[in-house]
Amino acid sequence: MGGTVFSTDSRDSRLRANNLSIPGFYDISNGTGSLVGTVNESVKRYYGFFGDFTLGYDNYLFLNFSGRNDWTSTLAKGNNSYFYPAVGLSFVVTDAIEALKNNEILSSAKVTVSNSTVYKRSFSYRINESYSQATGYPFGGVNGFVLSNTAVDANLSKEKINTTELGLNLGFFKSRLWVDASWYNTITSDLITSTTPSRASASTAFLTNIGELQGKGLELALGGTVLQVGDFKWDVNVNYTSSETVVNEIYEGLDEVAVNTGNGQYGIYAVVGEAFPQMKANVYQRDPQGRLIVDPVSGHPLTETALANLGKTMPDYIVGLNTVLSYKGFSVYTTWDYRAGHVYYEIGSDAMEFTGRGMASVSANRQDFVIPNSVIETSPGVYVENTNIQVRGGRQSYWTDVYNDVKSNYVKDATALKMRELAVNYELPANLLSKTPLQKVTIGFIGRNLLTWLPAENRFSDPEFNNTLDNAIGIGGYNQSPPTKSYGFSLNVEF
Amino acid sequence: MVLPVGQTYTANIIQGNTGRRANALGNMLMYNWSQSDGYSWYTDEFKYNVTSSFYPGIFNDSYTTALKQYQILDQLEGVSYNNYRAIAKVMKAYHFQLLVDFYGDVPYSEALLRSLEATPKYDDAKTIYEDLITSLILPYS
Repeated sequence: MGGTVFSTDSRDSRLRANNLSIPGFYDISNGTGSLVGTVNESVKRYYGFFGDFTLGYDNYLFLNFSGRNDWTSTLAKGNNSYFYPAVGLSFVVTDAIEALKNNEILSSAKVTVSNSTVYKRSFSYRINESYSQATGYPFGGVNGFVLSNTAVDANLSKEKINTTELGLNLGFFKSRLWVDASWYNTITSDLITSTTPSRASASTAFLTNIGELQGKGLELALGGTVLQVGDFKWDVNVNYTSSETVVNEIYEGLDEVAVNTGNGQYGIYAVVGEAFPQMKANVYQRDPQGRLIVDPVSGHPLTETALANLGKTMPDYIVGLNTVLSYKGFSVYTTWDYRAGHVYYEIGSDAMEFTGRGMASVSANRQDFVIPNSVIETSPGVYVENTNIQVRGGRQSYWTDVYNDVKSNYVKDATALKMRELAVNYELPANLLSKTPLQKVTIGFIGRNLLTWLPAENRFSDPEFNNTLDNAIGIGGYNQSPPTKSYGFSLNVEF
Repeated sequence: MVLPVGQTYTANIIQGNTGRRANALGNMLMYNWSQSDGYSWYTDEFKYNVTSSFYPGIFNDSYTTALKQYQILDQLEGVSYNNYRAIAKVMKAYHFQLLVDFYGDVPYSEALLRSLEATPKYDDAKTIYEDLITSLILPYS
């Protein structure tokens, strides 16, 4: 049993003088013009009481209950108390069954099951709409304040996360080989989310509780010493993670919500019944055989009016591998990972196409051309192959105004195989150090992000580098420093 | 302190120093303005390619900047705020008239309510014009 009180009082005040008259004399009086100052204050408090109760039977079966009640100052009164329970069961198989004790092959086995509920608090002061000084004010002697662009739901409440987890740990051959597996199912409901309301409501964001997300995943880890001959040792660890989050519900009467959009032609969405985050973009109209339908007058391809779901931006699975080779004082450590099954938006190609630097824009040698494999709809449902109608403006405007506006051209496979880290270390032999006060000296080389393999269609960027914050994962390759490789040397000395 | 910011926003919607504003559109459509040869900055204007991303600022900024500020003034209570409410009504009428001029049917009766109505309905253009005139016949002198 216990209790906690968490209280934060913060005050941040700044005072600045601009255009110093005497260089190097850092004092408020040395500035010209008016002083600039800001003060930020916040107070946040929460209280909690908790209890924890464990039952054990014969050292192999354990049952654990715990509960906790919290009160927070960051939600409205009457809506700010919440209880979160958890229950867990664990069973050590190798201790429970007599025949498995001291077994040569299976050295340990444990199964666990648990369910827990937690709630997420809001940040301080988020339940109140606020005013702030407007840009450009004070103007002359007049001050000006503007109401925040975020409207806040008066009934904003906590976000609930419920997790069920099943786990299995196995050790073989005196733990030389081990396997960890876990499966989980997480349901997150009433997410505190900044949604996009109609602009006509006089706000650009509406903070409210919406939706339900369900995340399922499987994690497998396998490791052990593959080879041990004399001083030579090879350890390998492999882990496999697959996870998928599906949107179960958003809001009454709503089947999708934009998390981040680029001018309405593409964006990251939450779509009911689809994996989250979902990439959507405008796509070409195609006939039943998949050929592009073009306008019989302009020769330009037609696009669908609604954006299409083009895949999720989080990988289906991630396989990680790390190996250590060691021989006497030397060791070589490498980490690899492979991610697949997701897409990303190549915003760099988009911009380069618009400025005429993209590969597609020179594919027809900057001439008007007939789009290969395209058709014309002569009467409803009848498609005839287009052999002579050329696009207009192949020199420039076709690429900047037509091709560049079909944003599905820039949604690419985000699969990547990467060598994340390579480290080579050498530990000096102990006998060299016996006459010195040093205990251990290790020198090493370390390289990060050394190798990346990408699919051929992804010409532009490492898909892992993202432009956007929060949940809008998947728009990348622009507005940030390019991915870097790094090399370093290390020296580690222990006394 | 809310009013001057609203007026700044009004000016910005008509002719701001960034982006595409009402003044630029008007001059372009009247052929007072043109674009230099070899530039492709105003292609949508000259092709009359009016899409949901065509001058969104006129719609979005009217509601989320200027009208937002005037709505605060319009909701003030008490005799001492009569003048502010009057200014607010005039400015709201001005913006809604512009919006109807540009778009026809726009959100009006359920607009500007923020968290109370995140998805206001669109009202008939004619009704809005008529209601604007009514709103300007001030209930106080």
